[in-house]
Amino acid sequence: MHELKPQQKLEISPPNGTLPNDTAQRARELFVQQQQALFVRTDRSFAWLMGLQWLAAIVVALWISPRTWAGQLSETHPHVWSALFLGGAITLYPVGLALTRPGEAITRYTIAAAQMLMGALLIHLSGGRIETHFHVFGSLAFLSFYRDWRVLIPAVVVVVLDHSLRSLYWPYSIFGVLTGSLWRVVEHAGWVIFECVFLTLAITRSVNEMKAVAGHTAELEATNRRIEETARANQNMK
Amino acid sequence: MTQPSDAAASRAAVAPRSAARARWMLVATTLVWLLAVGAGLRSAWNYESAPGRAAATKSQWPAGSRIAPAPDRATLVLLGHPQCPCTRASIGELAQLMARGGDKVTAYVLFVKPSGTPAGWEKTDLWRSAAAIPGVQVRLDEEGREARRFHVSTSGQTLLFDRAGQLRFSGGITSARGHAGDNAGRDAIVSLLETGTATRTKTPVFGCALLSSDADSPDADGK
Repeated sequence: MHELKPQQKLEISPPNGTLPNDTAQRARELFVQQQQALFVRTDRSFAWLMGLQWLAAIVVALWISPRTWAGQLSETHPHVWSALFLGGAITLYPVGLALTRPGEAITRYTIAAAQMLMGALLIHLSGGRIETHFHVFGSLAFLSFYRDWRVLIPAVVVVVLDHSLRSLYWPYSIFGVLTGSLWRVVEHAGWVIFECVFLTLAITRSVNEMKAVAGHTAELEATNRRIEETARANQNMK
Repeated sequence: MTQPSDAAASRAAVAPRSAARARWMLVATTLVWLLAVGAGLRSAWNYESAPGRAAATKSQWPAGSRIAPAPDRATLVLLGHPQCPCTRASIGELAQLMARGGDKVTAYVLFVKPSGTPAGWEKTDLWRSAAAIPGVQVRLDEEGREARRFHVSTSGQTLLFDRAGQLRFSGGITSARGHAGDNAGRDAIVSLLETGTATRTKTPVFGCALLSSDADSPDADGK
């Protein structure tokens, strides 16, 4: 059974009134258990996903740009090395955390940052294809499976930093203009934040539902206990 | 001698300290990981944004070229390495450019076939993609002779000549190595075709070297 930490002492009350203290405590326990199980399950899903993404990055590099050429001479394209080593660096650390420290806050925040970094690598490997940018939005949706709006923060920070630094130092490669444009950064970040607002609303609603379910379960347990006690008392009286 | 209860109290005091240290170590490791990955991405973007050698094309259409400029419209020449993966983006941008201004330009894509390469080496997906663009004529540049005549070194280099054979634009039509999307080169050519003017007449070019050695360098005129 998971011990409640101070920050996890959440308000749980049924819609039609307040729960007795022991039932409210039990509801909090049930909620934290369910939330923790969800964190662990989602960490494991991301461990699989990140492994597959790494494999996909290597396949993409080998498929699109296996070799670089100078006349009739060729050598392995730097994209292949990037996919192998940089992709490996992006993947292995968060996967290691997911396997050794599942359910911990730092694991899911690292996974969130790593998903966005992998998005940046995949966009690089695919030659900036607009379709690859969908990886960012898909990843944000997948991160919302944690039902913890805080995981969206490191993800957004990585996207904004990525765009800001590239706009500052490599504006031509990211926006196709030879001078940096702050407004393009704001525009791109704005769409990411747009999605995050709706994901946060969905997460909040979903967490409230989890709390309600935990409250109902605790109430049900208390009712069952009372019925058992009454039945036992009746049996003793006979 | 330490009493058992003292030892237990000491262990209880040490446990939160070591847990806090482990937590800080984890945060520090995560920051080091972020920095290492950031450095890796920086190196990747540096490579992606490193332009190839710019063309030194003369202002007039080169004498002795096997292709001739169109007398009644602008002529575009794109020189490509048939195996260069970066050039796939250039061909994609050319397709977009032709969709917008194909009726105002005669376009050639010249694929360089360096000496010592086997027959059919140049017939890649790039060749087929270029040949599939309406209005584009694909030609073989045996041993890079045309590349030398036009003084072009880097795959993806695009040249636009007006009907008088004067060079109006020289540069790449991608924003980075193999990078599709908006770019100043494509915008400049479209502007030149539509209005006759452009704010930019040169852009960096991103792609593989067309020829492998200094001996093959296009600085000497092609024969």
